[in-house]
Amino acid sequence: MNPLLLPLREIAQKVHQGELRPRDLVAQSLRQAEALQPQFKTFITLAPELAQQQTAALEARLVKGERPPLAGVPFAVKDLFDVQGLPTTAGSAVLRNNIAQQTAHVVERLIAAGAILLGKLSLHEFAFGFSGQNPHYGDCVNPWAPDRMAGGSSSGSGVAVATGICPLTLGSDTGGSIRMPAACCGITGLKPTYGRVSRHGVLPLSWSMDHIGPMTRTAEDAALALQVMAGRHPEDEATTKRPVPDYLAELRPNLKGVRIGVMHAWFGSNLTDDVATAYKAALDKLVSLGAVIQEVNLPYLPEVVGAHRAIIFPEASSYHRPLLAEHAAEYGAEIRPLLQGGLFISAVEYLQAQRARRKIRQAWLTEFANIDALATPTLPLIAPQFTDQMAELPGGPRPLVRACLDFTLPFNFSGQPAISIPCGFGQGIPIGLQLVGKPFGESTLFRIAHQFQRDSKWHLELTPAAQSLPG
Amino acid sequence: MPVPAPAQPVTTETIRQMSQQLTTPPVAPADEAAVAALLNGLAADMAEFRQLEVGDLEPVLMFDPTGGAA
Repeated sequence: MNPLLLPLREIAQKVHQGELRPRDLVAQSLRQAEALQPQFKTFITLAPELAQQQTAALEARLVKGERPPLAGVPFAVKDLFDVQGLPTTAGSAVLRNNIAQQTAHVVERLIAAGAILLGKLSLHEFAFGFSGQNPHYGDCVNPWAPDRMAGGSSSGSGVAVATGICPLTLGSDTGGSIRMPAACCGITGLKPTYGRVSRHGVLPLSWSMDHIGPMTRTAEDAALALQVMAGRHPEDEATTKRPVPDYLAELRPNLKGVRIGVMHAWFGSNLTDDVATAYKAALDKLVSLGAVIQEVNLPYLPEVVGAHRAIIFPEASSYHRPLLAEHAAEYGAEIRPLLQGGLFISAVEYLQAQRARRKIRQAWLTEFANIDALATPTLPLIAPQFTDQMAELPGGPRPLVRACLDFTLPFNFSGQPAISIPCGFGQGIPIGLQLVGKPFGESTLFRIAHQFQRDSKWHLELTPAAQSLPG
Repeated sequence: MPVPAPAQPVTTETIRQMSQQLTTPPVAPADEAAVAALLNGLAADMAEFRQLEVGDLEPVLMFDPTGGAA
């Protein structure tokens, strides 16, 4: 098997033992990235010189006897993450020449752990959308079907892993922007608990909804990445002082007696046939592994959709107001009205939504006291086509934005951790299973997802581009 | 509780008049229709949230997903 498709732990072990050389891994990643760029528009900035510098530094550390946990793992980040000396464009022409003066804290952590940064990945402009279409840098397309969305806003992050460019990317998630591309591309994507990972050095969309997380092929890889990424950082005062658990150690226990909640009324009653079939099979698989399924009732979900809007629009517009004043014409035609529209939402509306947040979060914590995790489809349909405006669901056509985000955004609102893992295919396109945990319950999500992946092969299916890697 | 019918829709004229006073810079004429459509869509999405009783709860400002139960 090509080393870029190996588990992160195995790549690092082989590097530690001298069986793989970091420079060869990086060279192969860069070749794959360059070869696929015309088709997928995966990167906004490739940084081969920086990667070579990091490779040389890592190889010097290895000679000294260091054994960092991600030694030689090539990775790339959504172009919202600052890397000193590289542009942070946020996928917009507005910031085309915005050279970062700092490096995001999580990027520093990954580099310190031996990972090697390849560059900055495509995204929906300013992370404010879910299709991955970008008028400035090109549309990042689905690696299973180029007429379909890769999902967004972390579209390049999904495509880079799914096409075998690198086994680890970082994304950000404000309403589903890690989990949706993970589902559409057939990979694993984790949105950790709010406060678990520092947002320092990451350009915001909505301060109180933004989450940073890893995108990988497996839950085990995501656990290893989070182990490195998680922790307090003084420049993100939302980060928690809670100790970081040993996520890898907690992957092992089986699922006997684990309580999985389902909520048919919101998450199971209006799915395409493909998704309904895959979702049911995934629940059956969890039962076969020892889990117990029980129905739950999270109240206020319709209210959450509106309250999420009442928070992200003003927060985004507040950040962008000075940029709009200077550069309105440089924004894409889709994004500019969203940011201008947020200027009209009143402070009272915003505060009502943050008050609702307190009420709803408390109600959900009570409901989650009875379960270990909630299982839902990540999306009610397979990756939409770029031309789609509406989702055709059994209950009738539904605006695509509602169909694509109604299952994921509730957990940005609550701040709970959620992971999307592959659980099937429909029409040759991957389908995602979302597992949602209690606050700081990432270990439980990793355990469920890992045991599911030990007993299934959906996460091992390779895109045509990944199959083209030399063996 | 039934959700009340939406208020009178926001029009491009509403956007033009409000943006002269409220936004910097004012919304460009080419964007007025898109902003009006957005606000009407948001109003529909927010109808149920606007009916939610929140009692005397304070807003979440420094966000802690455990509600301070850590």
